[in-house]
Amino acid sequence: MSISIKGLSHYYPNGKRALTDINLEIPSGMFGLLGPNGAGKSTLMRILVTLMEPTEGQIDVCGYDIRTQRKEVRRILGYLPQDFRFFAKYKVREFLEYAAALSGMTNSSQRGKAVDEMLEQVGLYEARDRYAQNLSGGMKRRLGIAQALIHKPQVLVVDEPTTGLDPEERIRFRNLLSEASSKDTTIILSTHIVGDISSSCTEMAMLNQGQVLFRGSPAGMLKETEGKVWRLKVTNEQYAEINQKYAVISTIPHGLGWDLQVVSKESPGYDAVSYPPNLEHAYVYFTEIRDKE
Amino acid sequence: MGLGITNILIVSKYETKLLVRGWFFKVFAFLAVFTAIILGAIYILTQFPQPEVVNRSVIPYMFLLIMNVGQAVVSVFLASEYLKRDKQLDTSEVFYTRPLSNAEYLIGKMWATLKVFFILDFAVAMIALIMSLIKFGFALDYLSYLWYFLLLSVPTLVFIVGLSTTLMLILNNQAITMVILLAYIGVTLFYIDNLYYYLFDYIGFNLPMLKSVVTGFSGLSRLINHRMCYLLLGIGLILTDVSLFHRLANSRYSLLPWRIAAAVFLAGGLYAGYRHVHMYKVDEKYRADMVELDNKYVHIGGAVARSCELTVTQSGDSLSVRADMTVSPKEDASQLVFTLNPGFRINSITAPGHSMKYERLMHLIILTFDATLPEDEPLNLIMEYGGMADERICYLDISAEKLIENVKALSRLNVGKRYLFQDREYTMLTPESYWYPRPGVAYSDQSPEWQMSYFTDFTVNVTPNPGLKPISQGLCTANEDSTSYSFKPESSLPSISLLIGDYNPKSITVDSTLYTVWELGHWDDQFEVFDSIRDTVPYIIRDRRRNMEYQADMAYPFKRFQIVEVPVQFTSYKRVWTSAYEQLQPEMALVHERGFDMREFQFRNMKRSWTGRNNWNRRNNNMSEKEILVNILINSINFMMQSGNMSGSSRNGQWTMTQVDNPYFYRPLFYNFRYNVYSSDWPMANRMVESMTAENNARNNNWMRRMNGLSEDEKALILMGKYDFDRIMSDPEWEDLADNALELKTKDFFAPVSVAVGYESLVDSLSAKTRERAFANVSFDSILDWVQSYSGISLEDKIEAWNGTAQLACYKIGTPQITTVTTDTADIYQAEVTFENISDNPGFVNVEFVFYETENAGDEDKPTSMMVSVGPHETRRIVTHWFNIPSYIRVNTMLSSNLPHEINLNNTDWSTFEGTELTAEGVYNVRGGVDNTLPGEIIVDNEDSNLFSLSRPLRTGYLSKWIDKAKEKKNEFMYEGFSDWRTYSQWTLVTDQNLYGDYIRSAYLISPGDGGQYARWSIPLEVAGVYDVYYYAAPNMYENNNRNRRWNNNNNNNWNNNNNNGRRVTNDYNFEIGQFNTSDHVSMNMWRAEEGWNLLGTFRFEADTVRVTLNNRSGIRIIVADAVRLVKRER
Repeated sequence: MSISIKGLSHYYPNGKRALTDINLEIPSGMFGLLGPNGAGKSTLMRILVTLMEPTEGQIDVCGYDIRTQRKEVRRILGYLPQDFRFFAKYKVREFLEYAAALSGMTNSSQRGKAVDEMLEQVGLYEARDRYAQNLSGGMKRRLGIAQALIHKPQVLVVDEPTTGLDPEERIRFRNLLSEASSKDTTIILSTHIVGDISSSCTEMAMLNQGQVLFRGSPAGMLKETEGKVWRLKVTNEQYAEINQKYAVISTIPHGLGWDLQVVSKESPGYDAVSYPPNLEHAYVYFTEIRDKE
Repeated sequence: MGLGITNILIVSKYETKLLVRGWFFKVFAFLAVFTAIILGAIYILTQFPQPEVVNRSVIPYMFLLIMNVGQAVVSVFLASEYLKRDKQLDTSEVFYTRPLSNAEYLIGKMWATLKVFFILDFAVAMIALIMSLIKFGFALDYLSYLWYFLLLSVPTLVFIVGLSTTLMLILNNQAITMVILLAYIGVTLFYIDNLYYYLFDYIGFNLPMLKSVVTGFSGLSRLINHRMCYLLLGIGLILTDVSLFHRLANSRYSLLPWRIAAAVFLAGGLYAGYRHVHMYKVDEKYRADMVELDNKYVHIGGAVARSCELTVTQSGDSLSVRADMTVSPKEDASQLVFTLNPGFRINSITAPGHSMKYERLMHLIILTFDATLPEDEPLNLIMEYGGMADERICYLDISAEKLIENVKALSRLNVGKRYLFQDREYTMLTPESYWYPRPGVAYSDQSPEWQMSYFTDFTVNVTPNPGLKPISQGLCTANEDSTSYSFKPESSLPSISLLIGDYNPKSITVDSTLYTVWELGHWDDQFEVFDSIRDTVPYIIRDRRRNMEYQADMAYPFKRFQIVEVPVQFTSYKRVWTSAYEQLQPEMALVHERGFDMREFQFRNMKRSWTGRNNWNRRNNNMSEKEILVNILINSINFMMQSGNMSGSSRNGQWTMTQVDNPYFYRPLFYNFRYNVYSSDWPMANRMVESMTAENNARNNNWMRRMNGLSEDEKALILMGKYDFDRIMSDPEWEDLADNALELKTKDFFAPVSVAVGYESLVDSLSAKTRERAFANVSFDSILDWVQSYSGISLEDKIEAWNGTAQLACYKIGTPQITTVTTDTADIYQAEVTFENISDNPGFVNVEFVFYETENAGDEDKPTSMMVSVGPHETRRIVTHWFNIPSYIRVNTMLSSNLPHEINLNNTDWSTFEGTELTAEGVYNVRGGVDNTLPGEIIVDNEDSNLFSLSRPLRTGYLSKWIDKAKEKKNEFMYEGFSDWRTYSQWTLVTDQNLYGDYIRSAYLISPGDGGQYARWSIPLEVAGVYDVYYYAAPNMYENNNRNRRWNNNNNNNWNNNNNNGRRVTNDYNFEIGQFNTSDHVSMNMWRAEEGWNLLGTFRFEADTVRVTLNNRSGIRIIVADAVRLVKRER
């Protein structure tokens, strides 16, 4: 296993519990970490990239203990933080060179070559002499992944990478990640966007309120949701009642009433018919229904 | 710990890019370079005169000192800005997840900050260096550039960067960090100064760091220790930051070594700080121990050294000396006490023919004889000693606070203080260093015995280190190969000095006196500039010497005069028992190298300056180069004829002018090194006789009095009325007033004799008596005996009353009367003036009848001044006859509480009469006292606290109240100065002879305003009736600059001003005059007011209180509340 997390809990100084008894085994390849905002994803990510020390638990990254062997962990780690927008006044190439140099690439000619290759790879070569702060949002994010990959890390941690990107940039970014994952790199992709997981991850975990709700493949998650999604047509009055009782995930106006999709363990009535689930339904099922049981 | 230099350099490389790209740094760097260029252009490339010492070695100090202040502020901002950025921006986190350690990352960042400032410092220093090279060629002190960089810039930056990041990491708030640090810097710059021996001066802003070209820094080891304190603390703080940094360390235990290292450096810094203070404390303790020892031995074994032959051999840094002395005990004694610099180790002391033991206690040598030595019996002593002189013995009488005070030269450069120098290359030992054994103790705060000095017959033989030349007093002869020298003064001297160095002499003999200038080193020959007027120099010297001798009324007593250069740090202090400063020695003046802080001795610069000025004013001024040089030489000699300079300082918003003594004032050369009046009981004896017989410095000028509020004499009198005389003489706070107190006390001491024989006559006779015995020790008792035989008056009573609080008299002075009596031959003018002593203390008044043209007095031989004694509650009238009316009478009230203490009674204000008979000249006792009021007249003055009141000040804030309170506490003298340009926001008490008053002529001033401030006179009337109301105006005092306007006003009757509100206001004073609840408004145009009483109007009043209120609404510059007079009209 690439990353092994055992009994991980974390409490903030104010006593608030961020993570509770997390146990995860993360293999090579692209691993998705799905969960709503505030689920504890970022805390987990920050612990994994050695920015925070967990309160309890054991984490091994490629065989290195994250508490006692941080330097080794950091050497094999790449990290793209969530809000990677604010740059100091570096040019694109300088920024990447700095990151490369700090990762141990001390030979300047080799470093320069690697930086140029990476810039080509992420499509920023033409923009190499521009100040990073003047790049577009997508370009910044690509520069972010470039700095995370420049030293060819064994583990890449990417926190909410596609938030705020337009569809074209999002696809481009996913492809970059897929390309990286094909090189025997463990990529942990933390996101609340279900599409990111479905399109690129073979393994995933779902987190809510600091706990793992699901661990498996996206297909496994869908399977657990089968028979829990319902479609029904209702009047305005009925809609109000349904909305109070069930997790409504889709509402389409239909004549004088509504065509609804509802996630529920049992049929909500009103001639509801079972409906094949997608990951989004699964996400709602796990966060809204299973987690509250 | 494993510090990766590569990682540090990487971080530093990229962080430097960030720094230099920031606008803040760009602006600062531009300003720094721009300022350096401008400074360089002003100081170096223009004609602006700059001392050669500065050009050689101090330019980098000036530049880096200014730079240091700027970068201390800017680096605070940049260092905290760094961490602020780290805290907020996610991009930093991607670096935190790299494998470098916290230490590498932080140190890299700190190094980036330090590096950019170091480069900037280097650039500024290079600008200074290049400009110096352009101007002065290659003869610069290159090392000083490195020294100042290491001593000033490095510790300051390391400390402030460390401190600001630490604070930022602890407080986590950039704004609070900035406020705290900027306040700290501000306090350092403007308040801390020399607190705890400059301990807190991390910027080095006040730390004495000036470097002499000859001897380098003063106290370099202390300087390095002080700077190490901040360097180590700075490094310690930076290392502490490694632990405080908000990033998980690479491993659990990786911070421990950094914590230990931080603790070690912080402890090292604290230890250096402790050591800094400790060194001073040890010195203070050592000095206190010396004083304690002195106190113990001050009364034991006094002696006079009759002769002293000193044979000095210099060996490396060290000196070995043999002193062959003949001493005489001042009284029968079995013990004799000598003082010798405690740094010198005694090798042997022998007294041929006497059995003797000696004990060395710090600086004292106590000789104990088996048999009693009879008084005045000559005793030959041979003392052999040597080693390194210890500076701590110098100025034991000067307080530690005074010693640590900074000397600032050229407005900002901090010069260290040195009193002696001794090393292989340069030695300077003045008498203050006690480099040869002197009978008695060095200092005692319990007996004045130690202040006595006696003339001794000196001989000095010197064998200096090879290549060096010795300088001392007397005729110098050298052996054949010039390896040893002998100095033999022609007469006995009070003391002797020894200087050894790479001296370069230039001599000229004029009228059998040898004048020599000794320049130190060969780096810049100042006197070369006079080569072109070599033939003229003797004439100038002769002429100036005659001038000086005429002014001193004495001939120059020595066969030679030497100007000897000494390192810039040489300093001395004023002493109350002598007017001589250490800068002047018999036959010589010790001047800072190349005239560092004295323009008069910077000949090359002066020439440059004069030539520049000449070129500038070519149309009007066509001075040739020779004329310029003649003027420069005359100026420099004339400098020795100036007793002092005016110096202004501001305290609590009150501007004070003081006269700062010129330590090179020639008088000690003519008087103090020639005459010596001694008295074991009266340490001031010599000074008293000097103040009576040598010409006095004009300390009391009226302009200074106006500025300061009181004259120096008046301040001294106020102190004398409150405190014991000894305290005034010894309190450093009042040292500027000590001379005045002594002169006043001395005049009062001799006053009974002056009354009997006339002051001038006494002075002439006393001078003649003193001058009979040049280069000899004259006892004060013999002077007193002579005074008694000369005048028949014993001064025993005065001696008893000497110490203690002065009993001040207080006089009412009558309006002088002039009576014209026509006799057969001429008109005779009988001038009379009356004094009433309203106090319980006897006193003396000195009265001088002054004629603008002296021949108007008539009889040339008739004294125009006289001293009169006026007993308690006694009234005395002086009657004199003249062929013309005196222009004015100058009245000096001696030891009195009158203010002003000296006034001029101008003849325009006198009462004049025609008479037929003359009253015989003389001093008459008068009954009834002095009454300047007329019948039916009532006057209320501002000094009458029961009947005069003022409005409350407008300011009510706590801060201003506190400041006012502090001000009140500190102002010993109550009366303030007056200047035309100052704003008086509240009623301010001043005194002036033009104001009204019984014996204190004072008034309150305020600047004009909206009329909210007022002064009120409440005059009780016993009789109802019609009264004329007058106001006392003194336009001469406060309307000097309005005189011309007054003149204009007469031609243009409608002269008005606009006040601040744009409303038209007049130059009137506005009064409300009335009784009960009614009043009339009366205005008085002050530009037309006459000196003295001015009629405000005529009113009918009931027998009740009349209120006259003056408000501050006016267009005039100043409003003065003085006195109001009511005169009842006869029906």
